[in-house]
Amino acid sequence: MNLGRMRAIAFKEATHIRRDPFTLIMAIIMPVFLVVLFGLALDLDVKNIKIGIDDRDQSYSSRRLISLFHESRSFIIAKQGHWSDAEREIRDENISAILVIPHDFEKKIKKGEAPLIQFVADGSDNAILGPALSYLYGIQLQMRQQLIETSFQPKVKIETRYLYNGELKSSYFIVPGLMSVVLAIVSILLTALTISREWENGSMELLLSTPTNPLELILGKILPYSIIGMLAVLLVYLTARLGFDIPFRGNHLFFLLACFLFLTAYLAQGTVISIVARSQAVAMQMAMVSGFLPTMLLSGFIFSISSMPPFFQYFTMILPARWFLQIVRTLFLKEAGFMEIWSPLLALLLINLVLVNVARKKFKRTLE
Amino acid sequence: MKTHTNVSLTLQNLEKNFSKVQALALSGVSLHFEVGMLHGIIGPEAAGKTTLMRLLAGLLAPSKGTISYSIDGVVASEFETVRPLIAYMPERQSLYADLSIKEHLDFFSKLYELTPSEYKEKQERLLSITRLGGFLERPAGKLSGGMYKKLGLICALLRSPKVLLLDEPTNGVDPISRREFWELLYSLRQENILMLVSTAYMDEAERCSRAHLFQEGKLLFSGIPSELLVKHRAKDFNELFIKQAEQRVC
Repeated sequence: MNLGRMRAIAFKEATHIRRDPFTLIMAIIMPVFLVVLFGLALDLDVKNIKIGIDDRDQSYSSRRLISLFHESRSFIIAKQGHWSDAEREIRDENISAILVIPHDFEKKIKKGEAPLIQFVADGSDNAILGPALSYLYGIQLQMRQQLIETSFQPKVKIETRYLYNGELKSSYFIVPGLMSVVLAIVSILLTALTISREWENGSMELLLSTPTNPLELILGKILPYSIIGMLAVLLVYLTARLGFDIPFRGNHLFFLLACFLFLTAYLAQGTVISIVARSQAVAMQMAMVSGFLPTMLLSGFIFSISSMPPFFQYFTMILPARWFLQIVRTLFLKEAGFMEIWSPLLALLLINLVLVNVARKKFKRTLE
Repeated sequence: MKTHTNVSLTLQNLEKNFSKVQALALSGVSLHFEVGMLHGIIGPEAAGKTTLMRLLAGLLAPSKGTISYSIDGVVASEFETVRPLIAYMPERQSLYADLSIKEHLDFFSKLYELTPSEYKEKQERLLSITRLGGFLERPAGKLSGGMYKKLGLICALLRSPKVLLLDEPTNGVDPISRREFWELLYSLRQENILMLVSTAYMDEAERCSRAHLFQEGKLLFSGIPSELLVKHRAKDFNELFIKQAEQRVC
């Protein structure tokens, strides 16, 4: 391992990057663009659930109930009317649920009895139904307080307070996650293409005949891209803080360290791909399959790891994004110190070492 | 001390096949290459020239037979001990199109760990003999064929090799540039390096101190060019090859 040669390779790579604005744009502008785009589009807060209301009572109380739905902003009253077949209505009218208020609604309230309200919901879309039911529960509580004036006093009362994300804003949760997915994809692509490019344009044949050893070549290739990657991190960080108003409560130094280890892990994975593939087109596909899909689906970004089958829970451990996501979500939202993030940091470091070693082993000094 | 190192090369029954279905790329090649001579590896397309060069540069492993380099008469046990002494210039385009001549030289001088003074001296000398000095800032992608080959050659020569392997350095280059290129190679002969140059231009055989003629992976003849012509009663190497091809058909 000769540092001078590694530096020469890094410098040469930096020259290529400088001459090729596409790489720079892809590396720096793309992540910001993607975070903004998906940050705006991917809103897991379910709002505006379309419902229909069948008010058979037409009383003061029933109108009060309807206005509660109105005010909640979670529901949109798409239709009001009288339907004999709620199911067909849901199917045909593209609404998520129908609320049926029975004709004796007000009468029962006045008598002090519990009125029954029917809520017929479309169970085929869990993503909407889950939040809808919890909103419904909120409306139910309000209804008890406002309509049935005899205030209801349960013996046991659960008061929920959400730590770290008081309003349960999904952007707090999504944007840091998005950051890891986007940075992963971009960095894996960057290096996946560099060594395969050397094979493709024939320069590898010349490089192999020089005293350069694989480790110098691998590290020399990763180095300039990790600097560019850190620039992208900075921009994405600013976008998250300023554009999406995400708080950052942890330690910036740990954050930078985690970002660096995360980037290098994906750059190293890209390098492995690049060494195995030897052609840019194949490398590109391998990068997408091994980088994009697992990072998106198995890192805990969309589906929580603890609810995956045991095999996948272990499998996710080899994904740098899983560990990075853990660190990033902790650092953004909690006042966390080193003790909270040392284990994922260590995992990232190990993944780095393993990948660089795999790259070195896979790297053959022959043309066969 | 290094400047007095002599490297010679002996091949014994060298064979290379890339797959079982294909014909052998090289078969039964036994040859000795003496120090300080300009050896020509002459042969038409698919004669196995590039395969031979790659084998000698350590980029391919032989299927059978041995390649032994001797340093000052002592056979090197491992390729790694000879690797630092070999410079190789591939036939394929292998330079970086976006890097200038200067940037190529800077890059390779660092890979070869030249000291700044060594680099400066070599650079000046190589640029003056190749007359590329006026084009330092021109990217390799914009060089003419001959200049491109010369740049490849100086990148290889930066490391003061004891063995110089040039794979078709004059391929696709105009006749005047070709002659220049050969003159350049002659000027290197004094430096006591083992030089192997492959070419598909038969007339270039006459320019070598030893010619080794290959066809379809086999060594046909080997020797001093003028003696070969006399022996086989041909007026030039073109004729010699054509005669040879006719014999094979019959």
